[in-house]
Amino acid sequence: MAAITVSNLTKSFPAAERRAGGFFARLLPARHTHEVMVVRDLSFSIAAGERVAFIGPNGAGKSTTLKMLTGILEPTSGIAEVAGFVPWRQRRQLAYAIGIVFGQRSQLWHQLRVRQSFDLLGKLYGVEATTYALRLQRLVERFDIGGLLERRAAELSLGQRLRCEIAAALLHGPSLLLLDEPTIGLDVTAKAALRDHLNALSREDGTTVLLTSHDTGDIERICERAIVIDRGALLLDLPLEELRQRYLGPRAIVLETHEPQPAFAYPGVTILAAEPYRITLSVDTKTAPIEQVIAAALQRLPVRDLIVEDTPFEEVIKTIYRGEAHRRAHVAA
Amino acid sequence: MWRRELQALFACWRLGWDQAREQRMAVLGQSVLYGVVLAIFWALWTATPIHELQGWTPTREELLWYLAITEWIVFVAGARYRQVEAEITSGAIESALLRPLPHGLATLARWSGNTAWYMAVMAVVGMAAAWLLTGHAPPHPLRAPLVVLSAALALLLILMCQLQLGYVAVWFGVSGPVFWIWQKLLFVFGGLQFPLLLYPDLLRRVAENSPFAAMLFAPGSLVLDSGAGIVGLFAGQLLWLAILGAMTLAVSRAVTARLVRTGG
Repeated sequence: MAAITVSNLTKSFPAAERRAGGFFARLLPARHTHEVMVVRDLSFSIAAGERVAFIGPNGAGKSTTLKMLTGILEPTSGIAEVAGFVPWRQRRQLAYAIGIVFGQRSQLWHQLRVRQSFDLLGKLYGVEATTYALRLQRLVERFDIGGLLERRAAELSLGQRLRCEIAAALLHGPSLLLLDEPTIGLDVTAKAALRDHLNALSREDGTTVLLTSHDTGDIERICERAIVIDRGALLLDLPLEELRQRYLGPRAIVLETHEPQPAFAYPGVTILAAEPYRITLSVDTKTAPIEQVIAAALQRLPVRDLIVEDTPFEEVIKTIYRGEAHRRAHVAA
Repeated sequence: MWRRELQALFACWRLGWDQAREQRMAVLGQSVLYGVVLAIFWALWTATPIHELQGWTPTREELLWYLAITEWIVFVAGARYRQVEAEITSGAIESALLRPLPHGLATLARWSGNTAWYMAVMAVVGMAAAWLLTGHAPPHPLRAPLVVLSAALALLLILMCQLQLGYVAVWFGVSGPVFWIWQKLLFVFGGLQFPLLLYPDLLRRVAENSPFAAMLFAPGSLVLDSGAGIVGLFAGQLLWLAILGAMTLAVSRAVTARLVRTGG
C-alpha cells in the first residue's frame, strides 16, 4: 500500500516586485513580473514502511514539495495523496495521520516545560489519556528524553530539542513521519544519536519516513531509497545502495593513533597522507563499505580519534547531474 | 468530533492561562501603570470644575470608576496582534497550520485564557486603586457581575479585532500602522476617558453606532446613572459579536487560503 503517491506535481510562484517606499506604497498592488517554477512535473510513490531520502541542492524544491505533501501549500497543478488524503484539501484530517519535524522550526512552546508541550499536543490531537500515557512512556525511552521533560524547551540544546521535537511529532501516533533537515546544526555525536533513534523507530514501528537533508550521513544511516531532485524536477529515484555504487566517490577517514607510524591496508583503501600519529585514508565506497573499513581500523590500530569526512552533497549532486546530462546526451546521440 | 475539538480548544485556553501566570513581571508593571493612570486622572478631575459642564454630568467619583473599567479592558487587551504579525513574518504560522485546529480559533482560545487571568488580577488592582482614590465603593455594586460579563464580551470583541489586525501582515507585511489607526478609533469612538454621553450630539450618535462603543463604553456605562438601558447595551455587544465573529471567520479563511496558495 502506498503511503504517498505524487503525480505530475508542479508549483510555480508569481515573482512580484514590491513597490519602493513606506507602508502606503505597499498598499499598492505589487508589479507582477514572471512565474518562477519551483517544482515541475514531479511524480513518485512511497510504500508504507519505506524510509526515503528526498534530496537535492539548495533551491531544488525539497521544502516546497514537503509543504505540498503536508497540505500547507497548494500545487499549481498535479495530484498527490498522502495517507489517503489530498493534502491541500484535507489538511486537518491529514494532520492526525502524519508527524512533521522542521529542523529549523519548533513545535514546542519555548516558555513551557517539555512535558507541558507534550500534554498540550496530546490534547490538540485528541489522544485518549491511556494511549497518550503509554505512547509518551515509549517515546521517552526511545529518544532518551526522561531527564528533559521538566525543562523548558528554551533551555534545551539543539540536539536535545530535536529529540523532543521528533517525540512531539509522534505523540499522536502518525503512520508517516516527514523530516525536513532534522540534523541541521547538530554536532557529530548528536547527529549519530538522532540517526540511531530514527532508525530504530522506523524498523520497529514500521513508520514510513520521508527525509530531506543535505547530509549524506543522514541519508546513508536512515534511508533505503533516495529520490533526487534538481531545479524542481526528478533526477533519480534509486535504492540507496545503487545510488552509492553509481555516484558516491571516495570518502576520507582521518585516524589519530597512539602509534607513532600508523600503517593500514585494506582492499579499496588508499593512504592519502601518513604523518606521525595520524593517517588519512581514501575509501572507495563502491568496493569498501565505510563501516567495514572503520571496524577494521579500530581493530588493527590504537585509535585515539576518528573523523569521517563526508563527501559534500553538492559534489554528489554535481556527479549525478553530470552523469545524467552525459547519459541524456548519449541517448540523444 | 466536536468533543475532541472542544477539548483541544480548552487545552489552548489553558495554555494561555498558564502563560499569563508565568508573566509575573509584566503583570506587576501593568498594575503599577494602571494605578498611576487612575491616580493622574483623579488628580486632574479634582482640579477641574467638571460639575460646570452643560447637561448631564457624572460626578468625578463616577468618572473614575468609569475610567477604571475602560482602562481595565484596555490594559488586559494589550497589543496581542503582534504575536500573529510575528508568526506571519517569521513563517512560524506554517507550524500552526500543520495542526488539526484552525489557527484563528486556537489563537482566540489561547488569548481568552490569557485574558481571563489578566482580567482577574487587574480587576483587583483597579478596584483597590479606584476605591482608595475615591474613598467610595463602586456605584451600583450589585451590577458588578454585569460589568464582568460585559467586559468579557468587550474583550472578546477586541481580541477578534486584534486577530484580524495581526492577519493584515499577510497582505501588507506589517500590522502596526493599521493597529494604531484602529486603536485611536477605539479611544475616540469607544469613549475611553470620557463617556460618550458627554460628546456633541452628532459625534455621540456616530460613536454609539460603531463597534467601539460595545468595546469600552458599554461595560463602563454600567457604573453611571446614564439612563442607558442595560438590555440595549448587551444587545449591542451581542450584535457586534455576531458581525465581528463572521468577519473574523472570513478573514481567517482568506488568510489560510492565501498562505496555502502563496506559501508562508
